[in-house]
Amino acid sequence: MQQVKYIFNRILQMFPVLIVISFIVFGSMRLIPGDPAVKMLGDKATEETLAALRAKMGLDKPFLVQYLYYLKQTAKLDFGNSIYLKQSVLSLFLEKSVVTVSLTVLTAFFSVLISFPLGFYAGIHGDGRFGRLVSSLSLIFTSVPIFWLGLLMLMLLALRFPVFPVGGWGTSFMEHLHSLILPSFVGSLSTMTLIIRNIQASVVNVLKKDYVDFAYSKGLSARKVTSGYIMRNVLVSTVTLLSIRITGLLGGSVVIESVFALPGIGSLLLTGVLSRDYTLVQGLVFLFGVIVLVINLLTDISYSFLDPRVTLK
Amino acid sequence: MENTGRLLNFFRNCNQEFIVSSLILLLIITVAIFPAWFTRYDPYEQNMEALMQPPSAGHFFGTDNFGRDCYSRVIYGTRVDLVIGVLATAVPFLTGVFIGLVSGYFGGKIDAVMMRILDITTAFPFTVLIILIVSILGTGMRNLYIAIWLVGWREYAKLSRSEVLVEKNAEYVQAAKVLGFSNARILFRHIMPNVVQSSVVYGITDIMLCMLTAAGMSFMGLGVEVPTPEWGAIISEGRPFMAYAWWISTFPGIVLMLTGITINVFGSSVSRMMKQMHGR
Repeated sequence: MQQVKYIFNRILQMFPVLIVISFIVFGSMRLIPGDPAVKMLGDKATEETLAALRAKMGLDKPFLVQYLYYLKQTAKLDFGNSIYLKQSVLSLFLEKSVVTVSLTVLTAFFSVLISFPLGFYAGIHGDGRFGRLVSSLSLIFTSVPIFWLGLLMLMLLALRFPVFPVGGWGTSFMEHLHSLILPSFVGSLSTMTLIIRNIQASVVNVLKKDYVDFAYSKGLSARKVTSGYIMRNVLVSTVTLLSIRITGLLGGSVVIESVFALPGIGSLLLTGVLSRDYTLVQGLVFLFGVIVLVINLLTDISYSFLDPRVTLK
Repeated sequence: MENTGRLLNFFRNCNQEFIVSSLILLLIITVAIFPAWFTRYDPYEQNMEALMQPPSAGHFFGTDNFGRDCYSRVIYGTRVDLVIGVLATAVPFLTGVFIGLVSGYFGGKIDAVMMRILDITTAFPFTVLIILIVSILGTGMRNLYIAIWLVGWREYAKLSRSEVLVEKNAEYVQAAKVLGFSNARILFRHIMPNVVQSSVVYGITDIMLCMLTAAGMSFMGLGVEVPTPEWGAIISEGRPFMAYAWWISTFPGIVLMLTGITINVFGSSVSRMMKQMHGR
């Protein structure tokens, strides 16, 4: 019950933030010099349609009235039509989000899958040769330009040895999965090294705690201690880190999708910027903000499930 | 006397990583300032008789689709990328540290406003925010700088603010207040030298991060204008030919990565030395 109340309160708190975000997005789009109606309808629009749109958007009215109109449309989930692609921004977003969401989920999955065993091993067996290997790898993976690594992988694993497709999204589920493996692996590298180091540090930290000694002296098996005591304590900090990284991954999707020619939200945003499609950019940036808010909320909620000591207020 | 002592202390704390990385960094800076010392070719000169040649003794990194010498383009690109890294870091460093210092020291309304602005900018992924600003201002290097300047300050503000919050209750600050020094003097002459270190360390790594961001933006066509020999842009130029001319894109990426690693190692060795010298 308390959790439901907390979640409800958090959702309520999101609205003022959303209003501020919409104000920033709207205001920044108005900073672009020129007539917004011309920008929205394109150069070829006739004078009548322009006048109609100006009246509809209230461009003759003060800034604040225009903003309220925009807010009203946003509340109705109407982000207008893309100038370049001639389709509603929301439907484009929903259509392309499948790609980006799958990419992000698979990237997170890869990073967790690989970093958990490695981080645990490094944490339990101390800082030796393995620890040094991890820190040199993380040095490389944080300094490598991700778009370049992606291209290199494509050259090697798609052109020279055609294991993976050169790009694109395919048509069937298996093809989707196949085309996502390489981009999500490349995208997960920097996150992976971060998580490995974090898990290593928290395992070392938890092992020093009294309750771990107590659990062993109670006669619990090493497996039970690891899964019930160490794992649960490590999870909380890992989830925080992962949620921060997922925000970064969403931003990074612009680059990754561009390299691997994946038709996701990132590619859509890039198309919008390059074709000067302001309605599209405005809508997508707002929706990116919404996603980040939702991810942050989910992270906070997940704490209470992972760690019973955390009470949601 | 005090200075010689400091210098001695500095050399005693020099570690291997610091010496090696600063030597390499010195080499990179030399290349950036005097690119002509390192190559015989003009990075813009097209040679229609030597198109797409693989790496050889004459052209170390091969030639591209205009017959331009790739090695020479990478060498001349050093200046472009290094200037981007430093310029894109310096401005956010100054504004961010200033904002963090002022809002941490004075607290109250200034702090509340600054922290709300910070919260809202973190509601967008970094790349998305940069792209939003670039789409408003238009593509090109100047606008990319402005975008990074507008977004990049948040880390410095967070870092310096959190340290000011601790430092402003220290005894020496109280003493300075009792002596009747002005707030500006206390803040910038007494507190700043003690809190700026973590921002300096972050700033060194940030040079690398900014270089990577700018290279990525150029790769997507949102950065430098076309013939400019910027590493990310060169990688992008080689992209259509990667099936048969791997060298165009491969070498600038390797150089970018090695420069990044050098800057990273330099940053971490500087931070370790700072900790040792202050006995922390």
